[in-house]
Amino acid sequence: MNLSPMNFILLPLMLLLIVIVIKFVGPIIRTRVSGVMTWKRSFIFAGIYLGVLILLVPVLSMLPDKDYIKLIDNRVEAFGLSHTNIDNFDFLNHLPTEGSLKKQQGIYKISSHTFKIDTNKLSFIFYEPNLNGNYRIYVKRKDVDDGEIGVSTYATTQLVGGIDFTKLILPPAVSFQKGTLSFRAPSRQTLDFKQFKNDFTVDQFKLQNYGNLVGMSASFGSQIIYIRVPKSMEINKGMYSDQIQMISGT
Amino acid sequence: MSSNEVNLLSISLKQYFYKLKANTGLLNRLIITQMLALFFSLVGANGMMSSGNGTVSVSVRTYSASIAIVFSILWITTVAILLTTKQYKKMEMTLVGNRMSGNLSDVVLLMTASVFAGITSSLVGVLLRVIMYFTFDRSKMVFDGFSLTVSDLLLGMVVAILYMGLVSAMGYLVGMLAQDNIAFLVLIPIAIFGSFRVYNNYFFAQSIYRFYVEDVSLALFALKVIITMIIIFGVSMPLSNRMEVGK
Repeated sequence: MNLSPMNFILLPLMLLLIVIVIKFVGPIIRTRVSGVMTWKRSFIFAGIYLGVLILLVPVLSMLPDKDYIKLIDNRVEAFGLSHTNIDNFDFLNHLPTEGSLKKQQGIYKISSHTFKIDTNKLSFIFYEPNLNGNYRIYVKRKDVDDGEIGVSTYATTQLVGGIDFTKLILPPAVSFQKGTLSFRAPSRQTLDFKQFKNDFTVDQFKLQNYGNLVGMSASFGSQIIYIRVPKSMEINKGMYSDQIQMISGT
Repeated sequence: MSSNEVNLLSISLKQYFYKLKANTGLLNRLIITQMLALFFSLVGANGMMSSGNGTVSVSVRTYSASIAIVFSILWITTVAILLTTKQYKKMEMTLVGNRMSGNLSDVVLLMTASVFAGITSSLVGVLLRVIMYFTFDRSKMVFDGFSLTVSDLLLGMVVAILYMGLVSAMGYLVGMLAQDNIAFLVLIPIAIFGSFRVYNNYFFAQSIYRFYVEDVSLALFALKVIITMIIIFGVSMPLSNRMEVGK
C-alpha cells in the first residue's frame, strides 16, 4: 500500500485528533451524554442505527449502474488482451490493412481524421521525441487519387487491475498544413480509478477471484498511426524513414 | 433437568438482561467506532497501486469496509476484557447468582454484542458504497465490487459474527488471566504479535492463524470457530472460579 504525501501528513494529524478526542473531549461528552442517554434511549439509538443500515441495502440495489467502469467479463479474454502487443504481430510478413486492424481483437480505433490535400507532396513532423517510441506509423497508398489523406490511430488494450482504460487514452494531435502532416503527443495523462473490494470476511471464501488472475498489474500497449494517402502522392519520410513503414497492396 | 440447572439458566438469563441494560453505553461506543472507521475508509482508502509509462500515469485506489470490521473486532476485544474487570464483576455481586451464572451471562452478552457488531460492521460497507455513489465521480469508479449481492452481504455478516465471537472469547480469556496476574495483559498480546513477526510459515502461531483465515469452507470454518469458542470459554470459567470472592 502506498501512502500519498497528503495521507502521510493527514494520518498522524488524524491520530493526534483521535487521541485529543479520547483524552479530553470524550470524558466531557460522556458526562453530559450519560445523563441524557438512558439504557432505553441507547437501545432505541442502536435500533435506529441498525434500521437505517438495513434500509440502505435496498437503496444500494436500486441505484442505477450506468456511468461506471466495468471490468472485462471474460477473464481469459482479459488476460489475453492484456498481453496483446503490437510487437507480437508479424508485421513484416502480414502488414496490417485498416480492415485487419478493425477485426483484430485487442486493438481499438481511438481517433480518425481526414484532410483535404493542396499539394501532391507529403512530409512529416513529430513534435515529441517520445512519440516514436510509443507509436508505429504505417502509410498505405489508396487505389485512387481522391485528394484526401486519412489518418487513424489505433491502440492495443491497456489494462490495469482488469480495468480497460484504452478508450480513455488520448491520441496524438494530428494536423495537416502545406503538405506536412504533424503529430504532437498529448501531455502526460493522469487517470485515477476507484475500485471497491470485498471485505476480508467475504474474500476468504471467494476462490480465485478476478483480481488473482489479471492481478493489479498494468499493461501499457502501443499505438498504431495508420495513414492512407492518394495513389500518386509523393512521400518524403525525411529523418523518420526508420519509423515509417510503407504498406503496399491491399 | 434438575431444579439446579433450571435455576442456573434462569439466573443467568436475568443477569444477562441486567448486564445488557447496564452496558448499553458500549453500543454507542461501537457506533462511534464504526463511524470513525467509515471516515478512515473514505479518506484514506485501503490501498493504492499506480503505474505509468511516458505518456500516461494510472492509479487505482481500492476501498472496502474491512476497517469497520477490524475496528469492531477491537471494540469487542475491549468489551470482553472489560467484562472481566473488578468494576464489572462488582456489578454481579448485587445480583443473586454464582460465578457460573455470571460467566454464562457474560458469554451470552458477548455473543449478543458479536452479533450486533458483526451485522452492523458488514452493513457499514453498504453505507460506504452509498456515500461513495453520491460523492465520487462515477466515471472513474469500477462497478464490479461496488455492487453487492445479498448472498455476499449475508456471508460477510456470518463470518464477521464468527470472528467477533472468536476474538471476544480470546479477549475474555486474556481478561480472566489478567485478573489473576496483570502481566498477562501485556505478555499475551506481545506473544501473539511477536510471533507474527517471525518469518516462518511453520511457526506455531502462524499455523493457528492460517488454520482459521485460510479456510475456504464456511461450514468447516464455522465449526472450527464454534469449537474453539467453547474450549476457550470452557477454560475461562474455571479460571474465574479460582478467584477470590470479590476479586
